Amino acid sequence: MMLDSSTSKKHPYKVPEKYFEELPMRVMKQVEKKPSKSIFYFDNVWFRIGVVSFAVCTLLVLGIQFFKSNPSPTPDYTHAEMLLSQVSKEEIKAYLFSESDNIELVELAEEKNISVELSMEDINSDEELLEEIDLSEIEDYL
Amino acid sequence: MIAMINTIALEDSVILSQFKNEATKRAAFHQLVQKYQERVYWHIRKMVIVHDDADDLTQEVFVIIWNKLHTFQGDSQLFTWIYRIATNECLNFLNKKKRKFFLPIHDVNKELAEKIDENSDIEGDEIQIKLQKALLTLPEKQRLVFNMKYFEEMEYQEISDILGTSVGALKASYHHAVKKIEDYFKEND
Repeated sequence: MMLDSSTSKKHPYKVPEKYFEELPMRVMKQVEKKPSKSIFYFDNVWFRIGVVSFAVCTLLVLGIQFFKSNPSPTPDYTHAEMLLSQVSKEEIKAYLFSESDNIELVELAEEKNISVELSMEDINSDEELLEEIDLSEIEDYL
Repeated sequence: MIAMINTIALEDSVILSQFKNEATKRAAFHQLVQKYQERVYWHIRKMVIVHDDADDLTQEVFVIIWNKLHTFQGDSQLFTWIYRIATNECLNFLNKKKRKFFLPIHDVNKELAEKIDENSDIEGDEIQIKLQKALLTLPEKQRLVFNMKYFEEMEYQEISDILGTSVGALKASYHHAVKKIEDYFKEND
């Protein structure tokens, strides 16, 4: 079928009887029912933007207040390093020997990527393990 | 007051002028509705298919026109301005329908195509009904362009003013729509 044939230019839709005679009066009733000027209502996009902005601002203010009243303690690393520098390697070895077991030490060593050469079978004692670890590398973990 | 108005359609400029006067505002608007109701209704009806939906939307369009007519600057023809509102309402309605049922557009169109078979206020010959079903396979805006060009016999420039799309793009859209519809007819013979 070609679309330029005149018969197909009619559409099949119908309206109820007297529809267009009555429509103007129905429309007039609608406009009299509804306020002629736009009023503030919840579908208004500016109202929605306002609500979201207010919520964001409120959260921001509350967040700032919370952080101001609960300041997170900042660790004093300089002080810790200074203290650690006063401790001898022997004392650190003794501490690790008394407070840690092999697993903890191996885990620590693994975190510092020095476990490649180490395994539990290779290590006979804590002292051997400590020999394998560069103490300067584990200072941060102590 | 309204009953006293003669039935001869007034010029748009007269309607607009009378609308600005509180004393003649309602009468002028009544004239406007009488003048444009059929074009608005059929423009909407061909898009939403079902009479009740078209009826609601047509009334809604005229309520919007009542509320906004005082902002009409006369930059375009009144008819173009009214069609633009009607077109936007149609597209909003179809988009809401899609969002409501979480359906992609072809499913909404499928639903509308089923309405063509079900509705008692749709009575046409086989070709007319087949053409409407073919149109429902097109994207909404392409369907709009086709309806305005083919059924309403509007100029491309008029359609361009209403839809805000270039004349070239509209010609291409219409050409593709015709091709798709002819393909539909070949496949469904």
